[in-house]
Amino acid sequence: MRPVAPETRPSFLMQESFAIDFLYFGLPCIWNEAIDKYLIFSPYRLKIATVNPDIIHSDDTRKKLAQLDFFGVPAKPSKSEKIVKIGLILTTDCNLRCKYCFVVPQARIRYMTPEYAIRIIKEKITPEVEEIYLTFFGGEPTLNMETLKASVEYVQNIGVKANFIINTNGTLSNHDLDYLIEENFTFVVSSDGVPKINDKQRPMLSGVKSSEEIEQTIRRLVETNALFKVRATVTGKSILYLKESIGYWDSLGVKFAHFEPVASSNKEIKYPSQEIYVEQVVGALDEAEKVEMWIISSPFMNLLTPSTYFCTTVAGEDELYTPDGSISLCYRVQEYDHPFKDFIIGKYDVNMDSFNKYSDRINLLKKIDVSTKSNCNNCAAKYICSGGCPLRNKVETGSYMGIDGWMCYIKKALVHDAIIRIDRALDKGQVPIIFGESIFENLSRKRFIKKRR
Amino acid sequence: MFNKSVHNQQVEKKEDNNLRGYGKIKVEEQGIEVKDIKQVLKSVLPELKREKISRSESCF
Repeated sequence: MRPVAPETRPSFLMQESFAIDFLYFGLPCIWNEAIDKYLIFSPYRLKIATVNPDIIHSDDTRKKLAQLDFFGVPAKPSKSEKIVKIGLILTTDCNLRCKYCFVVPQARIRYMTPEYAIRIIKEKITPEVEEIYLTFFGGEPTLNMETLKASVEYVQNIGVKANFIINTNGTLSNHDLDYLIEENFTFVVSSDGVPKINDKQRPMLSGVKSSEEIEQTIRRLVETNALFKVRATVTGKSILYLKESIGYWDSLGVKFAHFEPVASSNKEIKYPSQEIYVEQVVGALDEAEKVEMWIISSPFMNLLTPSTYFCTTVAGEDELYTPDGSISLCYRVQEYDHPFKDFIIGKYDVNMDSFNKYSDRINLLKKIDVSTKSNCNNCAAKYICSGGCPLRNKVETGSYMGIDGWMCYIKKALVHDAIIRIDRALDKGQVPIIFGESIFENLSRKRFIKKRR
Repeated sequence: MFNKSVHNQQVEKKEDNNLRGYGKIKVEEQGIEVKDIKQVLKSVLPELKREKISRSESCF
C-alpha cells in the first residue's frame, strides 16, 4: 500500500465524475454533467460528438458515427526497419540526490565508454536504416560528455538522419549546454516546480539547493529558442504546489510542462491521495490554460495515439543500453541484477563481441496487452491508458497483468476531465493544452541533424 | 435519412478573427453534434504524425 501524505487525505469522499463513463465501440464516451449529454471522442478521426442521452445506446447512433468515420483500430507494437530508436544510459552517476531516485546505489556507479556506445550504434545501424532517434539518459548523462560527444559525432558521419534528445537534471555547465544547443538537441529538464519544493526533493550532492542552476539552464534554453520541456515528479507534498509551479515555470518562459506521480520504493516518500491528486491537477490545468502552457502527463499522453500496449519501450520498439552491458526495456531498470530483471532482455558478450537476447523475457513482456485485462473491457480510458505501466502494476499488485488501482482512478478521472477540456477548447477555437505530448513529439521529430560531410 | 444528412453537412465557418477557425458539422436533428479537431490543430501542427509516443513514456 502506498503511504499517503497526511495533508492530502481527503476530508470527504469526492463524487466520482467518471462513474458512468464507458467504452463506446472502442472510443471513450464520457458523461458531461454540465450539459447533460455524452461526449464521444474519436482519436482516429480527430472528432468529438455530443450525443443526447436518450439515443446513446441506439443502433442508429452507432451507424451515424460510423458514417462520419468515427471508429478505428488501436495500434499494436510494430517496428520499422528504416527507423531505429536507442536509449543510451551514459552513466548511473549523478550530482543530485533526489529523494525518490530509482537509479543504482553509489557503490555500483558505472560509466559507458565511448567505444561501447559506438559499438551499440554500429549494431543497430543496418543498411536499411534511414533515421536514428538517440536518447541520452542517466544518472545525469552530462557527467559523461566524452561518450555523448563521441556518439553524436559518430552518428553524424554515418549518413542517416539523426535526432537527439537528452534527459538532464539541468545543472550542467554553460559550456556543455551550449554544445547541446548547437547540436540541435531536444531537452527534457527535470524541475519539480517552485524552488521551495524542488530544493527539498532534488538537492545537490552537497545538500545545497539545485533550483538556481536549473533556472539558469531554462533561461538559456528559452533565449536560444531550443525545444525543451520541464519534467516534474509529483509527491504528496509537491502536489499542493503544482498550480503555483505552473506560474513559476511560465515566469521562466517554459512552454511545455510534463508531470508524473512519483514511483519510488523509498518509504519516506508520501503519495498524494488519488482524490487530491486529481483535484490539484485539474486546478493546475486550469492555470496552464490561462498562461497557454502545453501540458504532458500520462493520463492524457496518448489521447491521440490509442493503442493496446502501454509503452513503446516495454513493447520492444525502443531498446535501452546500460553501462554494465545490459539491454533494458525500462528506464527504471538499469543493471543486470535488478529486482525487475524481466526487463533486462539481453547482454553484451565482451569475449564474443556480440549481443545476446533473452527471447523468453521479450515474449513475456510482449504478452502484456490491455486486451487481456478483463477489468479494462468497458473502461472509457482503455486504449489511452492501455492497462497502465507494467512495472507499476507489478509493484502494486505483484503481477504485470494486475492493475494499479491508484493510477487507474487517476487516469479515469483525468481522461474524463480531458475530453470535457477538448470540447470546451474547440468551442473557443483553441487547441487543448493537454495535447502537449503530441505537439512536443511532432516538433522534436522535425529536428533532424544532417550528416556532416 | 442519415446518408442524406451527411452529404448535406452544414459546415459553419467562424468569422471571428479571435478564434482560429474550425469546422463544425451539425447533425442536430438526430441529437448528435460533431466537432472537427483537425482544423484547430492545423494552427499549431500542419501535419500530425499519428505514431505512438516513442520515448516519452509515462516515466519520461
